[in-house]
Parts: sequence; structure tokens; C-alpha cells
Amino acid sequence: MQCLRDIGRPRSPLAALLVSLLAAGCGSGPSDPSASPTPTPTATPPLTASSVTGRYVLEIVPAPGCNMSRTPLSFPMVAAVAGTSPHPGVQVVLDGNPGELELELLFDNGTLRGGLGTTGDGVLANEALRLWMHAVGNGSLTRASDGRAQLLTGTLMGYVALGRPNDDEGALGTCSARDHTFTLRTR
Amino acid sequence: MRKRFVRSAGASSNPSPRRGEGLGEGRIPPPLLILLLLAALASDARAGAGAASGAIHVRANEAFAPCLGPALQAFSRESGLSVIVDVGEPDPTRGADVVVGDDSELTRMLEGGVADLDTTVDLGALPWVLVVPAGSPAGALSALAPERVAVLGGAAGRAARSSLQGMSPERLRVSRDAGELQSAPYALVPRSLAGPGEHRPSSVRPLIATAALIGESPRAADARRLLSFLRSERARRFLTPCLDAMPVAAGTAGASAASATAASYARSVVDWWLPDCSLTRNGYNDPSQVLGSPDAARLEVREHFRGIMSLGQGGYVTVDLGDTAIDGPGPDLRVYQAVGTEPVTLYAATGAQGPFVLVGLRVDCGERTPGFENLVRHCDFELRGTGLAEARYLKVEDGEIYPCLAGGTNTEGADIDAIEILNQKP
Repeated sequence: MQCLRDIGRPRSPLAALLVSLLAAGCGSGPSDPSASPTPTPTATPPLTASSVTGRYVLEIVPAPGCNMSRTPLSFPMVAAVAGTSPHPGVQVVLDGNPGELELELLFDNGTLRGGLGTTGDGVLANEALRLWMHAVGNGSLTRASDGRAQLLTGTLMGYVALGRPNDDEGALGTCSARDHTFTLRTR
Repeated sequence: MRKRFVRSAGASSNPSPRRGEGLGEGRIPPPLLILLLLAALASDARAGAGAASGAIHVRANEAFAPCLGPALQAFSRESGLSVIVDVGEPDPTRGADVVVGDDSELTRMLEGGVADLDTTVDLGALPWVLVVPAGSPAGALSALAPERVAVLGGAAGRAARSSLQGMSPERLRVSRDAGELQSAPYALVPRSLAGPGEHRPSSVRPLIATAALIGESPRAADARRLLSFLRSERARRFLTPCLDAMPVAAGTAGASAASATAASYARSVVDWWLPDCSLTRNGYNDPSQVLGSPDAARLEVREHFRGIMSLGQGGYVTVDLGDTAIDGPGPDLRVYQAVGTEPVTLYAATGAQGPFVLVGLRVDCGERTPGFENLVRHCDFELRGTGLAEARYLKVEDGEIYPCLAGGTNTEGADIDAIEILNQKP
């Protein structure tokens, strides 16, 4: 098991080859005729900050107690590891306009926690609604089918305001709550 | 500079201007807005020809603009200088020499150096009022109003809109049009924008009118004269009918001294985190700066400070108070925060490893702290209601949560100076 631990991390092709060879040596193989034909153990490497990488869809739903539309608002995002000290971090930004919607998250033992913010202009969702948000989010990561990490159940505490694309901030409602929800799914 | 769409308040012909198709440079012709070309008294030879081109340009938000007229007229009479008032959100400045706005509008301008922190003058407080038709029964606005409730838009109106979050959005009219706000039979507005009807007090935090010089003003000398005048007792008399005197701070630095025990401040850092983006861009990343008594100060070089830790986008610092705070009378804990009014989130625990309990979420940290020349502000917190009877460890987290990549200052996030126990365990 130990020898497979970090197999999910990015590495050079040579290193990847070595790991593959070592990994093959970890399980039983044809050189051991007495072994039963059980499948090679497939240990799942732990998720790390670098498991949150590439393209994602962020979906935000205002809290149930908010007097506003609860239609999920979705945004195309891009994620990358961001720093290791004093704790490992992950940066998730709007694809194409990184300063309009940004999450700066601390990775801790398979969970993400940190701030989600927009500028004074808000950010336009795929659903043609404009969102203004300043909130603290957290949630546990799970592994997606492609091996990357994703977050399927997250909570956001803080401020949200909605408007149509050309509206003033909050024209379609304003709400501060501790139980907005979000997901960050691979795409 | 981040992108801002043009929005010119007071353009009643188009109550909801489309993003990007604003009304020019915010120099809106009369009814009310561009308030005053106080052409310095035609009879005053000092004004001379071409006064308008040399006039001091003041940009003030919709709520404060109506309050400035008498004071600016007095200034013009005395100085012979012309003043033009342009109404709208102070940011962007649109060529202004002086801006007048609320903390919620000026913080980022002051931190970014667009407006000069050293020149700020607090002009007064402007309370919010609930407007209802005369003779309306007592009760909440949401219950009273059979029609839409008008509320101020923009950053200055954010707290007011949040206070109405229980109302359906269909029953709200968010507007920056002074005429529309003043004609609404039901409204939650700053007192200066209240129309006819009965005005009832509101619990929404009053707006604080602060004036500041724009750093790149071509008329800086004249603008400084204006700010100097606005600082005077004479100007205060002209402002007072519209703006209340600044609220007296609950206490000076070292407020716990009032309770017979010596002031007690955070003693050591247990943990901290700043996003890598903030670490790279901010200039004040040392967590030890939050320890001890408030000591934030501006340095000689503009936009340079000492004694603070900027928390960036959602960063935090966890401290050991050394002593224990208890749930006592009044607020129990105080966070000192500098350079504007960024919100702060506070968590508390009895042990260093937690569990940390939320004490206050995104609390505006803007109460003026006497003795710090408008640099140091504070916000107070109570343990009551948290389930904790006492706490020794505090986690102070940025509540501004502004995108790091769009920031553009070296003090992004709440700028923490000190953390004090107000109710200390004997």
C-alpha cells in the first residue's frame, strides 16, 4: 500500500514509469505461482491540494431562509494548487475572468475552507443572473471518476445578493445566512 | 483599477440604467444633481474669469450631496473659490478633487491610495429612517407597506437592503435616484432622501460622511483649503442640520481598563493562514503584529503602515489571549482594525485546537477609535448566544472577502491591529 500512496500526483514521465514499475511489484504477480488469482490491491491515494486541479463547475444555491430565487447559479471555474506555507492552498477562479469570482481555499485533510468573493460589479452566472457574494465556504472533497478531487456538499456563510444582468446589486434580493450551499464538480 | 460600469444616480428618466450605457461622465444636469456650481459669487473679484474650469470638483453620493450645499456655499463666499458638486458613488472619481462617501464606499479608495487617508475628515453621521404615510399604525415596514418599498442602491445601501432580506424582492425597489426615493410613500432611506410622510427611526447603522482628497487632484491646494474648512467648527454649523455629530466611541483603546482590571490583549499566535495570492500581493503579512495593544500607524511614505496584519481574501489569525474572556455585561471582546472598515468574522474556543464557535459573522469593523486619527477602528463582540461562557483562543478571519486578483492594494482584507478582552475572568 505504501508504495502507491502518491501515485495521483503529477510527475515527470520518467518518474511515472518508475512508479508504474514499482506499483506492479507491489501486488502478487506471475512470478509467484502459489498466489491465488486475486486482483492486485488498488489502494486509493489520499487526496491532496493538488488533487483539486483543472476545470470545474461551481454551483451556488442561496440558503432556504433567503427570500430570493433558489435556482442554482453555475459558473465555469479553473482550479490550481496555490502555495504550501503556512498551509496548503487551492485557488479556484472564474474561467476567463479570474478576478470576477475567486475562491481562495485552505486544504486540510481532505477538506477545503476559505473565502469566496466577487467585486462590486458582481458576476454573471450561466443562468443570466448576476451574483454578488462574500462568504466563507467549507466542505469535504471526494474523488471524481477521473481521479481529481471534487466537492459535492459545501456550505457558505455570508452575504449574497442577486440581480438581473444590468440591475443594481440586490435588485432581486439580498441575504446574509450561514447555510447557503455550493458544489464544485469536475468538468 | 477594476472595471466599473458607469452609473449616474439621479437620472430619473432611466431608473435602471443598463450596465455600460451610463449617462456619460456623471455630470448630470440639474434637477438637483450636479448640485451646485457655486460660482463664487459673481461679485467676488477673486473668483475671476474661468472660475468653473478652476473649480474644485466634489463627488458625493446621493445621500450626502444634499447635506453639503450650505457649507460649500459658505466656503465659496469666504475663499472666492468655486465648487462643483457631482452626485454619484465616489468610486470611480470621475475627475473629482474631493470625494464624500460612506465607509462602505471609501475603504477601497483609501486603501488603494486613490483617496488620501491623511486628509480624511469625518463630517457627521446620517441616520436611516423608515418612511411611511402619516398616521400609519406601528409595525414593521414589511407588514405596513401595501406596495413596493424603496431602498437606496449601491454600496452605501447594502446594510439597509440586508435589513429587509425578509421581504420578497418583488416588494422592493432598489434605486439610486434621489427623486424616486423621495417620492416613495414607503421607503428605507438615509434621512436626507426621505420624502413626505412620517419618518421613523431605523436600526440600520448610520452612514458616516467622510471627505477625502483625491491623490491625483490637479487642484490639490484648493481642495485642501476646502477640507480644512470642512474640518472647522464653522462648517459644522452648516452641516449639522443635515448630518448628526459623529457618534462618541464606546471607549478608547484599552477599554477594559474601565472595569478595574488592566487592559488585556492577545499574547501569542497559535495559527494563521493567508492565501498564497494574498501573501504575494499584500505588504503586511506578519501575524505577530496583531499582538499587544493597538499600535497601527501610518509611515512617512504614503500607503505604508506599521503594526497591522492584512488578512487578504479570507485569511485568518488564531491567537491565545493568555487571559480568559467571559460573558459579562456589554461586549466581551474587541478587534482593532485599521485603514478603512473591512468586516471581520470572529470565532472563539476554550482550547487552542478548538472547536471554534462562531461569535460574529462579517461584522463591520469601523467604529472610530479615539486617539488614532481615523486610522484605527474597532468592532465589539459578545460571547452571549454562542454557547461559550468563556474563551481564551480567538480566530479572527477576514470578512471583506474581496477577490485577491482584483484587489490592487497591498492591504487587502481586514487589517488587524490588536485584539482585546473587554470582560476578563477575574
